Amino acid sequence: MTAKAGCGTSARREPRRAGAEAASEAVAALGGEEPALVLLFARTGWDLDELLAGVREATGDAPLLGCTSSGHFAGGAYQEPASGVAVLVLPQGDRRFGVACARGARDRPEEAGAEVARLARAAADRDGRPSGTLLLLTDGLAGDQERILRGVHRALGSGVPVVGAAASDDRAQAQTLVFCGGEVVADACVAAWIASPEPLRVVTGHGWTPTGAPLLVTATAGPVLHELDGRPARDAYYELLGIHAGMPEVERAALVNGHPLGILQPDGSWVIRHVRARVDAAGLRLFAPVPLNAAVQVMTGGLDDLLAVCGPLVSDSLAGRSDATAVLAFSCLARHSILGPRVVEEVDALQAAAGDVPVVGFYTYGEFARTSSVVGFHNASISAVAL
Amino acid sequence: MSGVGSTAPPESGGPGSAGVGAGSEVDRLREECAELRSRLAAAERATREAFQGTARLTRMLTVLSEPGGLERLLDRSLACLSELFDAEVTCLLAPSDGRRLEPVGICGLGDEVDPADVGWSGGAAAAALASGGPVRVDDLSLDPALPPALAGIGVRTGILVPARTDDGATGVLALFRCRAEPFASSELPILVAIAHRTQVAVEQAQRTRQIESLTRLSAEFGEHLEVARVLESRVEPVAGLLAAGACLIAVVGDDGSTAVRASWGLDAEAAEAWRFAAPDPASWEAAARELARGEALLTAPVVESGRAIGSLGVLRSGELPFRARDAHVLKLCAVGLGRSLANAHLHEAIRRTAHHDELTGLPNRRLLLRLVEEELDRFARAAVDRPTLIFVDLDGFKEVNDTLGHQAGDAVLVEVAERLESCIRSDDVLGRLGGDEFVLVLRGPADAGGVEAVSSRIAAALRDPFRVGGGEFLLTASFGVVAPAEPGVSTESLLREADAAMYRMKAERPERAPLFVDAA
Repeated sequence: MTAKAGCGTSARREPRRAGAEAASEAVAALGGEEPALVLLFARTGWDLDELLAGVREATGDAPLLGCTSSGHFAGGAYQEPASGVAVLVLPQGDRRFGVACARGARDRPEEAGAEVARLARAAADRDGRPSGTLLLLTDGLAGDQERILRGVHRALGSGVPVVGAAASDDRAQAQTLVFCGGEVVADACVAAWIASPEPLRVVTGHGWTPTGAPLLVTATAGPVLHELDGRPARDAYYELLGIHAGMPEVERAALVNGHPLGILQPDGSWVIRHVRARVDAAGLRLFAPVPLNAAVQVMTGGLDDLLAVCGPLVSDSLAGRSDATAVLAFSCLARHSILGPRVVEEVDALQAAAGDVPVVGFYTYGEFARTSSVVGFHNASISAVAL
Repeated sequence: MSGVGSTAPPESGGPGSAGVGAGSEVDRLREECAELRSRLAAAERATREAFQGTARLTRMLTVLSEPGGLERLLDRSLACLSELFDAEVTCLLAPSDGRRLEPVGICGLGDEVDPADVGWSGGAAAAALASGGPVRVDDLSLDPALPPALAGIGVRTGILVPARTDDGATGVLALFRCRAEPFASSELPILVAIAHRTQVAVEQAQRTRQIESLTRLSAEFGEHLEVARVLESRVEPVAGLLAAGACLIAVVGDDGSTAVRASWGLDAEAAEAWRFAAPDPASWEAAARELARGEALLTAPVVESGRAIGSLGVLRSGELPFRARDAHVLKLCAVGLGRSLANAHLHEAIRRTAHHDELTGLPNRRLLLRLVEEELDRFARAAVDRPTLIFVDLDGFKEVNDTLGHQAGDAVLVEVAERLESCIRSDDVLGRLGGDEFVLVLRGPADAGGVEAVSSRIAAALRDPFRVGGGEFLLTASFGVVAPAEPGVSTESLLREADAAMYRMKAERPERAPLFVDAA
């Protein structure tokens, strides 16, 4: 029987010692098994090279990937933004891993996506393990993350589910970084190919429900939405939310944060796009583009609704997976902001649903969960996979 | 509370009856609320679905109208379809040779799948194309024609929609899902409209690409100035441009037959089968159509300087016919070919005038000197045996001109050239230096005996009387025969020696064997 994965955290300020401490705790939990894959999520603003060196003191040369975060969690322990590091080490079991990195995520997102997918696939021993899953971590400020995902899809096709997240940077939105091996890389994406005998189940959820009638995106440019139903997008959106000129800024921002847009999907579900609270003269600025002529709805949800998805989501990922050694979960920083102090309830709910299987993840600038069609980049959602 | 009691039915009087009545009312209102909520939810759902249907169509039209080439169009539109219909695999199929449908574009299979493994031979795809209507397959495992790549990814349901244009159903738009949920009937009309618009856009992009290729090829073709190269350079690109299995260019010959002068996709024996006793392109095309039964043949006449000189033809095996746009493209290719041939012939004529004597057609002085120089170079590099140069000067030719006129003189020169040409081997060179002076360059071994034999043949050839202007007369010639004694002898020196030897013979050895000189 395969051992459970090990995880650890450290809040030490000195990066090398923090890395070594978190990784040592994780490795110790393996009960003597060698780490086959190392994942880590860390705060920004400290020497990340030193941090990686510290991690590798404990994990050796095992394939490693990770990224900067805005708060993270491991085995029920929560670390708020701008603090510490979380490490997950996976035992090999009957899986094989291939890790790779591709640069140029900002200027050539589709090519970088295809490249990292092909390299990771090539790096894994797939013999006798027909199922593949791609774990993808990207520069969270690379722009249109769907284009990176599109490149991945072009290389791998629909048969390979993709799970992961866009790196964040403690809300600064200045520089997000990914880790590959012992290297800290900017403007890049890193991926792990997980070869397994049986397919892994990638899941996603959000807890938002629509309010009001669908709207058509009639003018858009990148992440800025100019028109909804032929009207200035901000006017149409504010009208639905009852936002008026004299409304206090805090109240307005809270309403915007609590009302993302949902892109209508063929199966009746919604892919969420978070609306930035900051007023933008050009229109509604989103966290990711919405296609022209897409049908969208304004979404709403209470804190209980958002929290309610956590348990079922993790249970769903673990369904039929008695061999699972860990659950990876990626939750949006938008959820973090909305949940406020109740974010610990999210971490607790995720871990509670997994029982003794450690749940590790971080708060992101967007989540990847691509399973059927080409679509798979989400905001204000959680994606997860049981490994 | 009496009021409450008065509203209660008589048989339900007593304590608590008022509460029961109020409870019923509340329950009724709750039920009504639930019913209304249910209706509202259904209405919302219906609105959303209707809205989404319109949005799907609008989004696809938006993607199809975006600028970009064929690859981009296919990439974007098939990815959009995958998203809008939640399909794991989307592809556009087109008939190839025979009854097989091959993917023009595909989304969702990744780069480890060979597109050839997505081709359909029969099955649902062929049924959709033949019937002209969409074919919904709720269990693809029952279709024996399901391509292995699709079976490998685990597709379970699909919908195959014929893509119609003005030429009928020319492709099939296919969507596949890996889950059991079939495509809904309500999705069919949208998909039919999308298939049509997609095919029109793709064919427009293909046509644009054809024209771009044609323009690029036209520029490349312009680089060829030899007739043979013009013909050979055309066939493969034209076949590629029209997705043809073979391309041929047939040219009308002087003997009243029309034969293939250049071909691609046909071996020499097959090409020879296209030679017909046809004095013009129209006759050849009629005969060619007979020969091509069972295959699709498309031809266009090649017109050079206003005269139909041949035909450009492309062939497809199987049952995939050429279409009107193909005929248009082939016609453009044939027009370009005619122009290129006219240029090449003009170029050949100019070259000939520049390097050949207009009267006799022999190499002129310029070309002759160059040929001698090249032969001496080869000798200097020990690539060939030493050559021998025979300088021939007609004796008393001036009198022919003076007595019979220049026209008769010219006729004599032409006949002299013909007689001299009959005396040499095919790889020797004969040229006219000017006036009545000719030079022969004998390639290969130049022993005196061999030269003697050639000289004797020349003398004998010239000994026969010339018949000009109704009369006959005899001519003699003087020869100077030289060969380089060693490598490094210049053309000028060799010619000078030959000229001197000829004059010595003229002066000293009239009507006798030529003097052989080793030029130093």
